Amino acid sequence: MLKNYSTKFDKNIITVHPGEYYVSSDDELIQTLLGSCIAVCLHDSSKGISGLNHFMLEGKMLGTNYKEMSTDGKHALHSISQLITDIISAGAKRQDLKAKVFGGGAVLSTEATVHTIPADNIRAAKTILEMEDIPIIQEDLGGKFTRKLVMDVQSGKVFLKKTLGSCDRNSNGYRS
Amino acid sequence: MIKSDHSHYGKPLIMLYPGEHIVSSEDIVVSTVAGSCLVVTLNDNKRNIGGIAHFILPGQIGTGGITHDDVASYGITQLEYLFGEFVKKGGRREDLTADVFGAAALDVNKKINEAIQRSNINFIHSFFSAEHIPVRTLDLAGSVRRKIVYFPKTGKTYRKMLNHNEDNSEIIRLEHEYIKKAFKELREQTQYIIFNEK
Repeated sequence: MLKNYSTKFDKNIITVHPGEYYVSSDDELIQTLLGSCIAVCLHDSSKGISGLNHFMLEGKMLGTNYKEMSTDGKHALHSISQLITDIISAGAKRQDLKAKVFGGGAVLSTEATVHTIPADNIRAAKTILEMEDIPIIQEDLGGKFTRKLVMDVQSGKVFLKKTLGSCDRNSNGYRS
Repeated sequence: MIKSDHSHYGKPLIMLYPGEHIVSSEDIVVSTVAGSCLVVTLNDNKRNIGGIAHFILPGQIGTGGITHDDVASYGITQLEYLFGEFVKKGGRREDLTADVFGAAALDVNKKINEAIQRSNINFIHSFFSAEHIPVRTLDLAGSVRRKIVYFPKTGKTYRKMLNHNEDNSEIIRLEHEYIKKAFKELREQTQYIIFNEK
């Protein structure tokens, strides 16, 4: 996590790296950069508390031997559970929480069509939020985009900038 | 099946996708959502072993009963996987009690869905009475998604009705995918010939 002062927005801005999450109720901004990763933005509008996480993988278990699988914030379920627990302990109410989900772009051109990391990530994020019964009010998932997003903690607004990932630059003649 | 070491229950949490099952005697929490699928939890209270399975019968059962039906045999196979895991962990079939949830009608195409729903419910009734396994809780039908939280060590099951995300539900989409896959498997599996004795 990196805390900077942004002259453009005239606020503090926190950069969340892969595998991290951040919960705040101050007047500041949270930003992150997504490829095939997913960021879940949670916001409680009555208290003005927001949280954002950034996970990389679904963390699927092979077989039924769950003991060998260690988890941390890089995996979907661990990351989202930790974010929800933290935002509730910061004062937010579970029934007031609203979620926005971003990311899951297929930025690498691979041949695998059945099981891809972006699709698995999207499935995991949406299933977990549905299981926790938090309404997803906005989502921008999939495609071939790299996404930069900035979240305003107080209002819960998310500013999104999409650029085409490296795999599509081939067709534009950037690389062979 | 995905796992987290951290959860607000204070125990490791495992989430099941449609079509998966798990048996455990550890102090963990297993959570899943039942839409039109069935969620069966079985527990052996004497030995503190619990198992949970998420499955569906991908079609209608014929009039011949569950022992003479291909669709029902798919369901029986899914439950036998669970029983097999149980025996591996040291559980005993005669000490089992079951809880069953799910079989909601959530589809837009209501006619087909209601027929499948009815055969799922019939299957549960006839299977557990044939196996002589007492069913402790039965919460079936309706048109609501149910969240199931299961503690395998104590055998406790909690059920919650979900309210949000109904229009754009990922669970219903996953279940549809699963039903299609199961139906395809069923078609492939039933290409056999039984030779009659004369």
